[in-house]
Amino acid sequence: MNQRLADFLIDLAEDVAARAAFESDPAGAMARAGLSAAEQAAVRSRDQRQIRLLLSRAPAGRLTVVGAGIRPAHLTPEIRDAIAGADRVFHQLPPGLAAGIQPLNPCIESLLDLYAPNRSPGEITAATVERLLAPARAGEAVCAVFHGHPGMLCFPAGAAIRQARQEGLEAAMLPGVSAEDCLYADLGIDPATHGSQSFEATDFLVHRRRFDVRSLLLLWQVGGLNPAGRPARHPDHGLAVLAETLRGHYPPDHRVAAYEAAADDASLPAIRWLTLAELPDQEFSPFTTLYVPPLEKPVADPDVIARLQADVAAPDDDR
Amino acid sequence: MNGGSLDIVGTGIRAVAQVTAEARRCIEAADLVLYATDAVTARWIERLNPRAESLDRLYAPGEPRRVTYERTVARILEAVRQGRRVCAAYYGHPGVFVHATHASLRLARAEGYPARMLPAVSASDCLFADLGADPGHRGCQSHEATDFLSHHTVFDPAVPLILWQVGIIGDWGYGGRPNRTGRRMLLDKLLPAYGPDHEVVLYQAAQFAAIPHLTARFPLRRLQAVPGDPYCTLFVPPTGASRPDREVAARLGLTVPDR
Repeated sequence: MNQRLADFLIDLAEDVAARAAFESDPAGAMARAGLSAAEQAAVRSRDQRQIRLLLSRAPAGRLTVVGAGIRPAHLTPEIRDAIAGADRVFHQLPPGLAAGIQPLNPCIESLLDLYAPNRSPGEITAATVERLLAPARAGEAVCAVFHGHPGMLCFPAGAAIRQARQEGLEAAMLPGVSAEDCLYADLGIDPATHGSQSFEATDFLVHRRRFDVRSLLLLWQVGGLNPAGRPARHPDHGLAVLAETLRGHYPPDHRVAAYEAAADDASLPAIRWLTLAELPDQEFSPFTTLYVPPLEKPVADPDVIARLQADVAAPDDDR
Repeated sequence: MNGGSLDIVGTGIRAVAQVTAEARRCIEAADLVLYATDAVTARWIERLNPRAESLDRLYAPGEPRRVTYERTVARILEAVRQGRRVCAAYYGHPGVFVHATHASLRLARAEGYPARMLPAVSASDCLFADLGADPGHRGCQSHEATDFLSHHTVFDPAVPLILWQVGIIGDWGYGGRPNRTGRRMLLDKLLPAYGPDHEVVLYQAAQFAAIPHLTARFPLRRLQAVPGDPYCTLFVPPTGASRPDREVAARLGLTVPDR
């Protein structure tokens, strides 16, 4: 039984003020009562059969986490449908992207108020998960919209999905165009040619990640490499430590690119090429990614190729 | 210039459902759409814009890939030079696992034509969404499976590893049956790092709306059983603890909790 819808209809029957509020502003009254998009549509259309059907069913909650892409033009049909079909939509988007999804659903709320400056990332993740799951537990179809791709450098999205599944709620993630996708298009690189390795910059340094200099290397959030707020060119500034680490693998004149995707459809991406020696002098925004091209072209080992080809040429008998 | 231009777009992995709004606009507005997509997307493109032509006809079985690639670039540039607004539409992300798009873009620009590439949802985007493997946690290493073997690629077992086209490892279009030597050599390379019981995931993204993605989880030692399917990707989850380096952390001013 759908108690939320039943309570709403009881109020209309018993409460004169509630009925007056509904008659003057049906959409507002229903939204305030927390009715889902499907419930609101049924009441608006005066479809008694549909209302009876909705009343008879326990509302099944679910969570769909989606990516809005980097620019408004990145919206895909499956993301539009997920937003339009949800009872409640929460988003964590910059203004341009937020405006793009606004017409798709009447129940859209921002999550940006959870990002209070005194909150740790862990607290923000916990608060986001709670905000998303509360309506899903109450039977609503919740859609959470994140910037770019929700499964890339977006811990609240992954945490919400895991928690929802643990509680037996249906949960899914739909991919969006990521900053990495933009980088490959804008820099004209095919990551498949020589393989790719990507790391969050602080994680890369602190865990001393191993990598192959013959494949491309991407380092995200290089603008966040100075957690202690050290002055520029300080030997323990994150960029100095990064330059030192990379210098152990690449020559000082190896050219790297500081990349930032265009934030709206009218802008161009920001691409700045510099040498590793110049790295400590830079100041990067939180959205800057560092692209380190391969040092040399990997060469296929002829012995490996010969062994693989021998298999192809071998008769089928011994299989 | 004569009005010719080139937009290179991707149509995503899940047919039609993952086309971005800007890619759709390019397809609709083009004088000529040259496409290399799955059949559903191909049909959708032809319904959206009848001035569309498949690039598949430039491909002849058994021919070296380089020949197909050169013919594709020649066809795209020919249309641009005729003064047409050309849209080249590719499956997935147009800049990933495709040579002809990057080459066409460079050539068109060198000849003075406006040319751009628009990003799209890629196979790795689908993998990150479906497997819940956020590369922000420990990073990500991504390699074509045959290259990973023949280039003796250095990798970090504490970081997720993605091997594309694992089903056709060691297969250069000769086709037919799985390359058992390739599978054995891959197993020999991975075993010392992960051990025989490490659970790996064989992943295939959903290509059509309302069809779920496929995953098969099995211990690494059973790698030989991977089917000879070009769309299958091997995801190797990271192994072992990932301990921060105290010295680096201290230099950056980060506190590392005691364990």
